[in-house]
Amino acid sequence: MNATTQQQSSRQSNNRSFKQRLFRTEANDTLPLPVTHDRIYILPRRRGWAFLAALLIILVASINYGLSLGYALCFLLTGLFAATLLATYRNMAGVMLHSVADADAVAGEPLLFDAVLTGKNPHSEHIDIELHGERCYARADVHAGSRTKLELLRPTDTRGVQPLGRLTIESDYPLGLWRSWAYIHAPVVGYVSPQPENQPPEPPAASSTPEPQPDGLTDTTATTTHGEFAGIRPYRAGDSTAAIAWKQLARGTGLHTREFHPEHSPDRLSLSWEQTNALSDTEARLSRLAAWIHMAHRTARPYTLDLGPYAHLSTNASDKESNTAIDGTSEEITEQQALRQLAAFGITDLSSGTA
Amino acid sequence: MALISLSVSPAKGESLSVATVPWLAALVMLAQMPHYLYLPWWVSLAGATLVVLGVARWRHPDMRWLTLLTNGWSLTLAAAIAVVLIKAHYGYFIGRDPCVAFLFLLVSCKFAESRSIKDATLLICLSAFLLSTRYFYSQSLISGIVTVPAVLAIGGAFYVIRQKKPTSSLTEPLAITGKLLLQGLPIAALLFVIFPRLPGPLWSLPHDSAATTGLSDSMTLGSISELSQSGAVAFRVDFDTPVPNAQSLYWRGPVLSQFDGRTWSQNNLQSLSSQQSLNFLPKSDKRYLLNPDASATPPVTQYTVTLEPHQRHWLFALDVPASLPVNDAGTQARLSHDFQLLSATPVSDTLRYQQTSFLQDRYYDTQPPGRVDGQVSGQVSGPVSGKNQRTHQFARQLRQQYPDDTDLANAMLRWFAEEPYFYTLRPTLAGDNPVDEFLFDSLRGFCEHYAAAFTVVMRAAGIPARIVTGYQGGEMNGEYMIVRQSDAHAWAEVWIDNAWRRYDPTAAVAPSRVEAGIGAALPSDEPLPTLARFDTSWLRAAHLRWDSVNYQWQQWVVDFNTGKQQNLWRKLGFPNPSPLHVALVVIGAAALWSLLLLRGQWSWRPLRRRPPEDRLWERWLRHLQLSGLEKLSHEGPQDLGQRAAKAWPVHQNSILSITSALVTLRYSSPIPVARNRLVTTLKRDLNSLPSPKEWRQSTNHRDNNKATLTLSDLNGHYTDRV
Amino acid sequence: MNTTSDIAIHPASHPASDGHALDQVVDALGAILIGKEHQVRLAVATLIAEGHLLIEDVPGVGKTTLAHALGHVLALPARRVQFTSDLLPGDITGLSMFNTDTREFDFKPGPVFTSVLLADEINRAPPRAQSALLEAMEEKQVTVDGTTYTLPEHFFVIATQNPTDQLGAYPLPESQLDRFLTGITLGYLAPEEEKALLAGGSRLSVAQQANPLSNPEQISRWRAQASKITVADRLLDYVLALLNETRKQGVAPGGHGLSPRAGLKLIAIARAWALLNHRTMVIPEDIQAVFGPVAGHRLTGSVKAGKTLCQSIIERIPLDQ
Repeated sequence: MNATTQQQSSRQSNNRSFKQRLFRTEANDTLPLPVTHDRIYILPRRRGWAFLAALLIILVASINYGLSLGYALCFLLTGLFAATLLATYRNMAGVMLHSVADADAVAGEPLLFDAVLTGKNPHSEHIDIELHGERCYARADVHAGSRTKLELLRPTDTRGVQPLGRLTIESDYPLGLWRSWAYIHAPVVGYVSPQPENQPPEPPAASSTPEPQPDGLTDTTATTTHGEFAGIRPYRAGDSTAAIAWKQLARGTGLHTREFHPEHSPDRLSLSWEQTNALSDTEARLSRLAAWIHMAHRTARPYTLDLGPYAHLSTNASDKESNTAIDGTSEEITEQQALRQLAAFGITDLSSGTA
Repeated sequence: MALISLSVSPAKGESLSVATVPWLAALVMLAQMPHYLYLPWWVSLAGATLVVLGVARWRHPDMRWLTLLTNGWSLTLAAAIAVVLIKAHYGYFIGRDPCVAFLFLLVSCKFAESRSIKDATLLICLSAFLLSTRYFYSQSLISGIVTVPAVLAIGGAFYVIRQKKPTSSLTEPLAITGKLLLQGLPIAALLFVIFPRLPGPLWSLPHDSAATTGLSDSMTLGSISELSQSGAVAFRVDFDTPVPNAQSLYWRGPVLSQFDGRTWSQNNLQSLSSQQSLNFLPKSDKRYLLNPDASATPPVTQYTVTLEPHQRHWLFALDVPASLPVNDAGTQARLSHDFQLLSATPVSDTLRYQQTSFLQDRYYDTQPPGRVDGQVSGQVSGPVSGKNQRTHQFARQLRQQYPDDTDLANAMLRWFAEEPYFYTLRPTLAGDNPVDEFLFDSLRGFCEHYAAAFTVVMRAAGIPARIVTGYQGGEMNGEYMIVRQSDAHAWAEVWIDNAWRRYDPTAAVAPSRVEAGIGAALPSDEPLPTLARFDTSWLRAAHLRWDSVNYQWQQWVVDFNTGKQQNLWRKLGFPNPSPLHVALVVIGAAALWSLLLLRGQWSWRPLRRRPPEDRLWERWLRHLQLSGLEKLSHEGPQDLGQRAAKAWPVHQNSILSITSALVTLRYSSPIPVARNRLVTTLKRDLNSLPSPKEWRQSTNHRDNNKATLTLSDLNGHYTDRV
Repeated sequence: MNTTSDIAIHPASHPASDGHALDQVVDALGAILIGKEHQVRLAVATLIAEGHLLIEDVPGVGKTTLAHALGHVLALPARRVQFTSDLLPGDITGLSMFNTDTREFDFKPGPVFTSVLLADEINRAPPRAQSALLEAMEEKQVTVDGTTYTLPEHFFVIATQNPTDQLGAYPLPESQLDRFLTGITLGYLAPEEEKALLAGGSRLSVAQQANPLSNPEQISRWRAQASKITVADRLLDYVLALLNETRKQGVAPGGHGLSPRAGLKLIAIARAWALLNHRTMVIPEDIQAVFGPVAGHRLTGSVKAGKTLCQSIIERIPLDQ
């Protein structure tokens, strides 16, 4: 029995790898990837079948009436048809999908995947190469010497993480009688972040010395490393323990508090999932967070983003900012990262590409 | 050819770009053009008009009436009307010619209607089919050549309808189609040679016949002279035995025995059942052919006739046929009682057969004329009442003068020779008593006049006589003989002493047969008129050359049949290839072909000729490579030259001069004159190099040196420099 | 020992006697610096291409001799500055001194006001002194106290640098290295050559006794000739391929490939190299011969380290396939 299960599973996996080979159902192609003979399909288009039918009619007429020239015409066109097969194949072979970048968009706006195509051989030219995936399409001539950028635009409506899915590279150059195509399935995703809330309330400003959080995770490093050290002053009651100048205390000069330049610390936003408690709907809460993040970036205010206990669900998206809060300085990359966090919120499985 | 193909609903799918219209129009016109010659004039006109309307609609899209006229509904209506009119014109519809006419119009309609890419695809396919129907009527070399631009247009049209953003370039689609056609040519040729030819039709449509020039089964005075003005080829002959002299070149065709006073006609063929004809001619039984009293056998000649289709049953053979035709394609033939060779089916294709003849002017028959196997088969003697009375009168006078049949016939010939008869292609038109009028009034006539008059006189004198039509003479063109329609001839056969004997009264008049300007159509009994056929000899020579090309075309392309195919297999060592063999050959060849094409380095843009220095450079590299010196990928031309000079000190001088020339050509920009001179000397130097094989042998200490030269030497070279 | 003239291929030799003079110069220098013909040619080519030369080597392999020999043979005034850790910019460019008689500042030109300047052990001096020299090299002029003084027309700096692994060095920053057209090493000699050298006595004195074989006007003519040498389009493609290869990630240790200016200079010296070989056009071998000296120090900061790198780059770029 054990053996049969094993056999079954192996057959299953065989079946799966066979399917994968044929249809690239799983996103495990790594770019850059040249389109080679092992993944090129080629079949006549509808036009090709029509042409074949015409050839057949000519052949039958030639047989019936014994028309030698009819045979000649038929076979000449057959030769053309066959040469076109090779030409179409050659046009396709050696196209290289160099890269497709992860894309970002706000829900409702289209995702733009930048695909870069190039030729594998230095002197090849690939004419009228079409690239299409689910709800997106682009076409260009690919010259080996240069990189050809194709923009795949995919409309979006809801927040989430959209895998690019399987791409089909195809071409029917030169006569449109044959269509050759290849599937490429790379793990590329598009992040659709929530539409920012229209008129969000002011984000809750965090004090320079953030309140110890209920779970005790006081982010001391975050506060002490930021802002420029301004000096020390005598300790006043109510100063945060985090700001105590321990060195001075150790020297025995008394209790002092380290002071920081005020323009940084008081403005730091601490954005967190908890702060949107007022809203019940998950999407609305994310929209508010998105609006706050946008605002923070517009006004160049630093912030931290904490999606709390839910964030751990989005671990796979990017390992670096997993689980913990993000420190937002006003760099572009961080806004992107923050928004990606929002986009991936609550989505469990990103790797399979079947979401 | 069904009406369904005209889509009635508005075109779906991608719409056609304006840039494709010239291509489609050109394709349609090229496909239709050959048919203009063969179709009723109104069909041609309607087709052309529709094409013009279609083009006009694209040019003036704002004209409502044009759009209305060319929408699906009106064109479906037009097609329906076409069916009715074609039926009315031909009297039937399901037949080859009406269907071709309909297809012709359908292509025009489809063009006028085409709005989407789908329409265009269908149009191209229909055009391709229309193109092939031309061969029903002519498979000449010209027809073949005329097809080529149309085939290019098919590819070009496919190219432009595929393009997503149309270019206005004319050359690009043509160049690419041309390239594809050339690449496909080996496959095409292979299929042409190897594809099994099935003898005989799979089906036949009724009424498939075509009016072609040639002899007919009846003859009125003037019909042959009309025919003689055609220069068309009747048939061609290859002689296996020496070519007979001109006097014996009587090609026997239809024998006409019935005469109603105006028209000569054959015995009704239907009445000749198979028993009444000679199905075969036993070799031992020479009674028909040989004078039972004579011991000498007449000369035998063997030859192969390539007969142009004439849609009739008869085949031609030199008088007197001694065998049944032998034919590769297996066409059945028989010999009728009056010694006509008749094929079982009308000759609708070029037919090639081998034939044997005795060169003699008579044949013997055991049965008296007019009777075949004891039955009356047709009148061969006696006057026709009420007509040509003067002739009958004349005949009776002759009979009184010459009781002997032979004397009488000879006297008649003398009469023609001595009286001022005039041999002309333009005889006076005959009235009610044509023979009388010719014999006594006009004295002007062509061969059929003389033959007819002779026969009538003989019959009136009580001697059985009949007219044989056929061709006389022929013109040698290199190895073979051309017999043209202008060689058409008629002569008489007279029953004397148990034999049908040939009398050619025209020959008696021959010396006087000169009338300027129409010499080309005169029978070629004598060499002079033949020479006078063309104004200048070079034109004549060109014409003959052209005919020779045509003949080769006919023999190797048009007549490529089962027999030739089997011959070819035999020559290749497979006398009887099974379908498996054939398939294997095709698959193997196709695989080889693909491999060659896929490995070849060509790009898909129109051909750009590479500059000579690049080609010469590659040649140099190839030479070195074959000689055992491989260029390192980063190695420069001069370093390579030095390495080669070290490997072959013997050739050092030529290596250095070649290298120097290549370097100068490739890395400086010499003025054109200097450049050309360099290219010339470089070519000469490269040509005068010993073969790579010799180079290999003359390598200087090859085994150590090669390693040293490629590795250590070069490394030293570079590290030293860098 | 094995240079391009091993088996001479002269597709189009230069007719003028200038060509012969060039040969004579190279031969004379070669006679002084035994076994260093390749380096001598590179030095002359650098001079013709209006660049400056960086020699990276241990002391005592003939750097000074080369400078003096060049000066003598080309009839150019030559001077030497020993760079030390306390060298001040003024020690190189010159100073404005207060003249008590005229009650004005007089400019006392520094050693930089010469034609051939040997800047010895340049990486021993602090950066400020280095940059004073390097600015002079770049602009061919010196500005002291607001007044600009032009340097002689054929201003040619031969700077020597200790290998960076030696102590006490202030390595030249990349931007400064870019000012040197070529970087070469002299290296030790083959035993026979060294023997010949030992037998011949002090090379420096030989150099100082060398006869002048040329003059500044002739150098100008050589420069004009070099600028007319043809560079074919396909050669430019090759140069581009080389440049692009250096810009690829992971190729240059510093992370930066060659600049477009370096490309221009590469072509300029390739022209000079072609002139030295009596050609009217540049061929790929010229580029290959000068690529290492031009690119090595720019890509790695060290001539020695650059050598192998450049060789591997050249071998990666297919040529004339």
